[in-house]
Amino acid sequence: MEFGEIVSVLLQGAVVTIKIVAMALPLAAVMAFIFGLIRLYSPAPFKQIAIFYIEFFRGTSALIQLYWIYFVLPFFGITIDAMTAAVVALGLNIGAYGTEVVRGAVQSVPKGQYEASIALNFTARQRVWRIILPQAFVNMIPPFGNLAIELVKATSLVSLITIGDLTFKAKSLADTTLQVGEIFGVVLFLYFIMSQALALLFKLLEKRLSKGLGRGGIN
Amino acid sequence: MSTPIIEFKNVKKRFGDTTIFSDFNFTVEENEIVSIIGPSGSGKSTLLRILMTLEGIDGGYINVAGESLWHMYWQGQYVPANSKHLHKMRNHLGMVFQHFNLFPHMSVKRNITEAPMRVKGMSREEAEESAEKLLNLVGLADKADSYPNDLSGGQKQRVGIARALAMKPSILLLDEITSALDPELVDEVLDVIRNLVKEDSFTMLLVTHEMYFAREISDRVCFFDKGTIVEEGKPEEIFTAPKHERTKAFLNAYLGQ
Amino acid sequence: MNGFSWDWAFAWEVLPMILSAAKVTLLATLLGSIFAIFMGLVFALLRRSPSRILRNSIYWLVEFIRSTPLLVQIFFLYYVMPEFGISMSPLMTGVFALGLHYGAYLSEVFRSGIDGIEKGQWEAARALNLTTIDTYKDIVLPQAIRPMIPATGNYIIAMFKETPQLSAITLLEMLQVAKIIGSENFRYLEPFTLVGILYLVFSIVAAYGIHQIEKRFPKEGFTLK
Repeated sequence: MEFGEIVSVLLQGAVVTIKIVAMALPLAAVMAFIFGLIRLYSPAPFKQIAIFYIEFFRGTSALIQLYWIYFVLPFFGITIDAMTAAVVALGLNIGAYGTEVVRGAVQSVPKGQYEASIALNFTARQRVWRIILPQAFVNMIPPFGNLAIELVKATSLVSLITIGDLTFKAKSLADTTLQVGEIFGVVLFLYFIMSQALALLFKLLEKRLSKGLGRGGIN
Repeated sequence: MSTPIIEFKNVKKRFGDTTIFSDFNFTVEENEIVSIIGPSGSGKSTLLRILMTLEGIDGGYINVAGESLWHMYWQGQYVPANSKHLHKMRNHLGMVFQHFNLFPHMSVKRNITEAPMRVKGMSREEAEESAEKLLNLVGLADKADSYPNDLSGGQKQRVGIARALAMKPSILLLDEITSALDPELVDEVLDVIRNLVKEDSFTMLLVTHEMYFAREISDRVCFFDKGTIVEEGKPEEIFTAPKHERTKAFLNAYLGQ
Repeated sequence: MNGFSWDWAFAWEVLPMILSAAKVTLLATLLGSIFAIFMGLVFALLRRSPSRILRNSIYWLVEFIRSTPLLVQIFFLYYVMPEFGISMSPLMTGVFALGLHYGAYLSEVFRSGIDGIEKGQWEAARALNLTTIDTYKDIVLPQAIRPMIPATGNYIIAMFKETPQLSAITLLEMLQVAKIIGSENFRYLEPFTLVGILYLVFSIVAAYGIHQIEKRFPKEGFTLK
């Protein structure tokens, strides 16, 4: 097989990988915010549910979660296609790690900010939404960037439930041709590029937002 | 004599195993300016923080403007205050912090207008007009659109004062407002307070290490040690003729008299 | 077939098979950890080498390993190594991949641990005319190890949770065994759930163990003979 042909097959796989990242990342962010805030501010029963979600998804492996959603849920009459299973599993998994990012960032806002907002008589809701979260948000960006890279890497697992992502294409090419060195070299390079691009994106975002923190970009 | 605007009755306060107040009694009259001096760890700041509802109490009662601060009357008896009651009571109080605690993500103007708009429901125009006046008062009219991180410590604290005043509190609590400042910036902040009390009457409770300022501005000075008021009186009395040994020792150490 | 409810009899029947596969999982984790710690130290020390080219190449190598998927690295070793005449068992391939991947992560932990040693300690060692090796062995590492324990432990637990990926190169670890049982019996609920619970239990026990090690570890470091 010609090198150009190999690259073009692999690029098709990369598109699938990017699609999964593009869908799972927002899901992870939403889960991280919802359960992170529940964990921080909700009364007992909800807090317990959040802790259960977080500990469960952080305590077991992403691959087991993926298999469970893909292979076990049909036993309960919930049949979902591989793509949905992939997005849900990865979104929930990375989201669980994201709750800790949200929590850490909120707790890193100085206590004095909280006290000043009490002294100015803001309600509990206003304190969180107007004073604490806008400041915490900037602190979340770098660790969220790291999680986004973890997500890119984790998407390779979906090849094991027959989704034609970059890893899947690589493996099928490797099984049919003998050019394994080239194939996996290109694949590793493509993943590296995707991760670095995402890292750069988050760095730019952080720069913009922290400039905003000093100059009032986010109000 | 009228009812005091602040009244502590048999107040108890502990932090873990450390007792701050075992049985604390204290009153402040309306429009009285009271300075609290004393060694660190004596409970001075805790007193202000309890009034601002940043710390709860473990026993006793506190009245502010004739109403219980940490308790409310409910179904024929006094019960611990809920957040609604605390919200109502905080309207009487304003606080300026040692470390300013300005909101870094908001402009100076926004720092001052945010609470009047969101908490008091003031219109933007009204809040901004009032902010402008306050910034004039603290001499920072040109900094309305700056951000806290661009200001010097003294300027930050003047914004802190304007921000507290914007809520029109009847009682102003000043918690070591110059302790975090470089010495050369202390006076610009104290001048603001001097002007403030010249123009208007306030009930003011200040914890301070600036002895000359306390002497000049206060109606009454309280010397605090180990959670009790060891000695209190008119500034001249306390500073020139302290009666208690501990007061003398403290002032000696502080003023090198 | 009754697929909607948990079948205890089936669960009990498959549990011994999964538990015996747990031995493979734990062995891979153990060997992988040892190799990762070794690689982490090598990377960390090379990052401090006097040669700028070497430092930079190691930086990019570590960055590369960290930003590409473990699964692809496993495949890479599995398919490409034999090209160079190196053929290893799935277990050894897995151990090698885990060690390399987590070695890259651990090198950052070790690096910041070493950087956390006060400058004065290095200067004192220099003043006492200790060799570089003695400085590391007697002064730096004994003090640096304790603060590294929690992060190192967390990465080892993370590695443990990634061992199911070794199923992709036919290693008969827990998840692979569960998958085989599932496909033979058309019943995935019990085997996959059991594997999930076992991972959860092992992770919790390991986290507790690491906390204990950190607590017991002498605060003032230790002295090597």
